[in-house]
Amino acid sequence: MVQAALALNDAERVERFHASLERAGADPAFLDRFYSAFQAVSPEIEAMFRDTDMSRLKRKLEASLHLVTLAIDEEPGARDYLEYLGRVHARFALQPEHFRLWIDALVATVADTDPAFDAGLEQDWRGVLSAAIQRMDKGLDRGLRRRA
Amino acid sequence: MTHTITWTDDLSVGIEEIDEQHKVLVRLLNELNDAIHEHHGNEACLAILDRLVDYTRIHFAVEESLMRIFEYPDYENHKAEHEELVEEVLELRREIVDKERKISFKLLHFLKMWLTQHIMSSDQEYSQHFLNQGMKARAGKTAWFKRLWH
Repeated sequence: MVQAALALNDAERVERFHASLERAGADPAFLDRFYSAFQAVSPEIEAMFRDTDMSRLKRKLEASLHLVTLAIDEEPGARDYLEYLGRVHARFALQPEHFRLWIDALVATVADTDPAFDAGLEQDWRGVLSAAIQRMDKGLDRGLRRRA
Repeated sequence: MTHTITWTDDLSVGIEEIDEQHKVLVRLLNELNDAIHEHHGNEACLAILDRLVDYTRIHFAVEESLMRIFEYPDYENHKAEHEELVEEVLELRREIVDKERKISFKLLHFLKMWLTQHIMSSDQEYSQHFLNQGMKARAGKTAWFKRLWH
């Protein structure tokens, strides 16, 4: 399902997102569950992470989520940094579809780890993540065109 | 002057040699911050930006050499982050010069975000690997980095 991106300054939704992230992140298995879910999405994704140090990947996910929270809290420079990360991903020939799969796996993981998760929170998560991914898409597109 | 980056232990990667270089980057970025806020003009700001880019390239070369020496497994990703940053900044610099744009807060905010995020996530990842591979956390008194750019 395609979700409309959430306006980054939608304070109430952002507040719910923060609270849900805190509950989900309190589960020590959160990061492991995410990578299991993400790698199960397709053989292509599984191959991308096959020989990768999982502890490093988990730190990357933590950093990514931290960056998403900085972006939705309108920290100066955070949205441009997301665009920059999109351009970095273009160097590895990633496609926008990979970002969509990342969102799906993350939302599925939160559904398993946040005890208060419901349809409303799913919308909040998808809205926040879609807004962040829109910026990465922009950078990815620019990076892919630069490299074409 | 406000909005400067303050060096804290959070920014330390636990290796003195690299911390010292990061401190120089922070100092140059703070200098650029002050020049923009105090309206020193494009010429003065670009001169600081050029020093920042020059030092950043030296610093990246050092990091990438260490990554190769210590066979850092995430070398390609990290190098891509470096290359993309330099390309981006040089592209923005060209726009400022060619299109006579004013050097912007947007560029400044991006650089600050890049520096803090990159140090606190990507650089923290390699530092533990270097230490595990035998790199010393503290440098000797005659370390070369203490004589450069200070």
